[in-house]
Amino acid sequence: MMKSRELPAGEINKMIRVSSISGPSSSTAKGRDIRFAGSRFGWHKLPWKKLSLHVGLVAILMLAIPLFVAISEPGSTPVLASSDWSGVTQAVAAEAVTPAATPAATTDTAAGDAASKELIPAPQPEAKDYPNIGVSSRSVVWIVAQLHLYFGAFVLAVPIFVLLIEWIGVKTGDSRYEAMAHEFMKISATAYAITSLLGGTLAFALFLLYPDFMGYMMRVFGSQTLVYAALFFSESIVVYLYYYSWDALRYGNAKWAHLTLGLLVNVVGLTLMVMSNAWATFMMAPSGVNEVGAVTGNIWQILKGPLWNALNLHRFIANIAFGGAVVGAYAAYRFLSSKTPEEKAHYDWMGYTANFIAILSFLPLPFAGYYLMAEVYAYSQTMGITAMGGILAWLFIVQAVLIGAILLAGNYYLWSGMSRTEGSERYQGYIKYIAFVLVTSFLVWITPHTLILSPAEIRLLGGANHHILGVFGIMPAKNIAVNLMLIFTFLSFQLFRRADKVAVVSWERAGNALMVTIYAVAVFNVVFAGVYYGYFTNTLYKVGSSVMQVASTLTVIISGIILDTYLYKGARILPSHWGKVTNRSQYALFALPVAFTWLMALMGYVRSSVRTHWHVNNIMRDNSPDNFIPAIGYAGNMMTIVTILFIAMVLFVFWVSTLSEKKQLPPESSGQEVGQ
Amino acid sequence: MNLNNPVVVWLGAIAVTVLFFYGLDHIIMSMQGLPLNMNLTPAQ
Amino acid sequence: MILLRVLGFSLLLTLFFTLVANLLPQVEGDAPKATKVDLSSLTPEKYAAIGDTIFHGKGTCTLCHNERGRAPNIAVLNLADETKKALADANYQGNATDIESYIHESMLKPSAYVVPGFGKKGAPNVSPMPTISKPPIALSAIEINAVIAYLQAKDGNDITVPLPSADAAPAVADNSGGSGDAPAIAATAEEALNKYGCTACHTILDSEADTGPNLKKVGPTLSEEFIRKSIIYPNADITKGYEADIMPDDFAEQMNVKELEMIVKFIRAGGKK
Repeated sequence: MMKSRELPAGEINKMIRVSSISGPSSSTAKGRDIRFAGSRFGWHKLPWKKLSLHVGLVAILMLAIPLFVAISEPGSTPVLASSDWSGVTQAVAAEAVTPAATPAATTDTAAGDAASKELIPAPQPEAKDYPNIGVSSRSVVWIVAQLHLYFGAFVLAVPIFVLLIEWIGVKTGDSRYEAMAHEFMKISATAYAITSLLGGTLAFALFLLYPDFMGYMMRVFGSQTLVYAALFFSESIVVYLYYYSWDALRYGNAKWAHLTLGLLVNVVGLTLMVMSNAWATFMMAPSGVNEVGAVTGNIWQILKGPLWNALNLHRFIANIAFGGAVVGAYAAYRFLSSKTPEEKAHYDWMGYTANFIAILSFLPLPFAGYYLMAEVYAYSQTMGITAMGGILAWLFIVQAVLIGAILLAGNYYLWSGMSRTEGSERYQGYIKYIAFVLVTSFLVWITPHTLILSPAEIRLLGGANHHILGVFGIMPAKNIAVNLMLIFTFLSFQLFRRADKVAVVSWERAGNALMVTIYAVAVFNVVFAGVYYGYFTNTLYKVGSSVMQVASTLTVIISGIILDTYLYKGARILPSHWGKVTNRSQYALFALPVAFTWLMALMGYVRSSVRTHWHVNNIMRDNSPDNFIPAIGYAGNMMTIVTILFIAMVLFVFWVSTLSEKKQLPPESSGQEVGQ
Repeated sequence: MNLNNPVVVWLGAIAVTVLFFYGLDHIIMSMQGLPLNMNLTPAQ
Repeated sequence: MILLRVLGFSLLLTLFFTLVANLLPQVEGDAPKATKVDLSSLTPEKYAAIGDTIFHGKGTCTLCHNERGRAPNIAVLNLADETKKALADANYQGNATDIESYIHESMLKPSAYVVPGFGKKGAPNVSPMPTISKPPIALSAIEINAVIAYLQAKDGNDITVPLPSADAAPAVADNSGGSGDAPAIAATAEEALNKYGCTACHTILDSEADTGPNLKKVGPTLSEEFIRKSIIYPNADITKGYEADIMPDDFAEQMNVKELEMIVKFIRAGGKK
């Protein structure tokens, strides 16, 4: 039995490939293929691999095509940004909202059927109409909703990379991937029940504490909520099938059937997510309804609001990063409590993989977030300015602190991991430069623009902004900082990946020269775009230049991946020792999910707060006692509460996962009576 | 093109990369309706 | 033991983030105060009164529609006559047929018809007036109707707009008069610029208006003192090519010192975000 800690993946691949699990059976009893023992009816003669692939594809199409239709369906006009005379607006009864009397203000609503449908405006509860259970209703919903989102993100994200890892296991024949995928899925399946419990609790809390709002949402979304429930049934079925059939569908065509199940888990999960995303985006940017909230469009127009796809993309990527971070914590915990070198190696490698997933999917996340913000601005300048230029602006400084923590932790883990390989000595010198860039960029990113100063302080400072540092407080500087942080994080990645390899291709020099120049020119381009277009041209070019910067960063990442793939084909692998990493480095793997968790809560606070005093923006006003945006200190305390709760619940999930591996030994029976 | 000569290799890499990014800058900005002059200044 | 260490570390990190959040300036965003309007007793006259408040307040109409000549002085003109004149004009290409629809069209599609002499510089058929239903003014359909009611009533013409229904009597947010829509002091230069309506006439932030000088261009060329003076005493120094007596001269009374300073610094920096 190979000791996996001594041989890097490459070597193992070569050895196992000889007895590939996906090849024709070579280890069977004479004659009969025992994989299909018992299949008298010739089931084994069917092309299962093909069939399962086709079934999977059909499933994707069945669920993806409606989604695609939703995406390409012309969206209805978002409801106008309204005013504080909302109360008067809401008073308009249904009969006033006929096409004739409706001002031309609402442009092309799907008003064709507006006249024929009964139009019921959104309810307008007053403060006294809100149920009071003695504690702030908002806090209750906040905590339950955030926990549900944490667990939902987790159980949707894990199957994504589990499927990928399982597939890699099939392609390479390396059973370590197989084992890791299985272990990750165990955690996910255990967490699944908690997700549903929290969802149910959330529904109860919402109906109890915000009955008018929920009544309205049910009216708007109608039978979509039942579809959501049905999807949950399907998800439960496929998750349990996928997990529990793991060993039963282990080899050959059965394995492909299993992979198809995994694909189904992801398709259903993704659909669940986009459906529930629609509720959140509807509250922010309602569509498919008129200015008093009466439903005028069809369900697709309601779903496909201006912010829907941006949120879908952002949450999809963020979920993966979050899921990776959480399983990384699992791996780190198990690493620290490992008793044998094999265990240590296994969990070290698992931690590395989790960090890899988390950081790699984290890299495009700022761009998805930027896209979401751009859509918010496009929908409503007021909302956009509230978020980033107004009362919530400081939040984004806090966000910078968190992302800085995430990137620093991720990079630190990679640098620590270099100690696993002897070949890493070549690259260790670069670490201090990467660290320098990261820290400097981080400092620029957290520099605020508008400081709340007393008059005396303003006099001392010579103005509302510092005459040197003030220049770092605005977007161009921050865009430079973010892009540089991402580029240099990728560099850490790349150096780590190269640490255990020596290239043997003839064009190595040229390839490396190309890689270096790509980095150099990309960095120059990012800085140039930020400084020149950011400070010396007009707003339009300034905003447009951020896309240039994104493209430069993505160029580095994509070209780095491609170049390294070819540069290191057939490379000489240097020995690396999984398990030979400091305990301290594992704490980076705890820092990641903690920071991610708190960051998610922070972003949730932003998302809810940009709605200011609205349940549904411009349509249904929030008249509850909690209809104000809480101060960031209070919000921070709430976020800490949910983070601590989540940590506790996740630890429980980890513990339960490991519990299933334990077997109590029967009491000793050496002639004595069996003790109690 | 002597790939063994480091000077050639580096100059070639720089030339290719700079050209690529220059083109990228132009394409990205034009795509957004913000054309650039040859010296990368705004054309509007 | 490991569990304790891990928990301790995680807790410490979480508390660090909490500390950061609590060290920052704490601001609560209050919902606009609600004053009850008894809609069951809303008469056209009362509706027009609401429109009056909007016209002189949130709608920022008087920024341009005044005696200084930037826009037709509709506060004193009789809109029945003005509508007749406009509809009879050979150039009129809009879809209005009466006072109500004409005013409505003017607010939502200002360039559908430009009263002669009030077009943009170099483009006499393009109106410099913003679309009132869009940000930053963003009046709702009901508010727009209220303003129309006001404009009809003030000259003794009939009010023809439909009243909002009396079925519900929800709380209605209060709009205090004056040009600000936020009760609090603006927290940033951008907020202040929007609050005082600078974007209505100047190219700044995302506005391309050219009633007044392009603030993004001139900002870096002027001293802060000059910019400050120009805001407080607009007529002290009129830039070549622009007209006097258009910019409001009461900002000194309306603006908070902090807001003024933020705006001055922002313009000096070229008005870039």
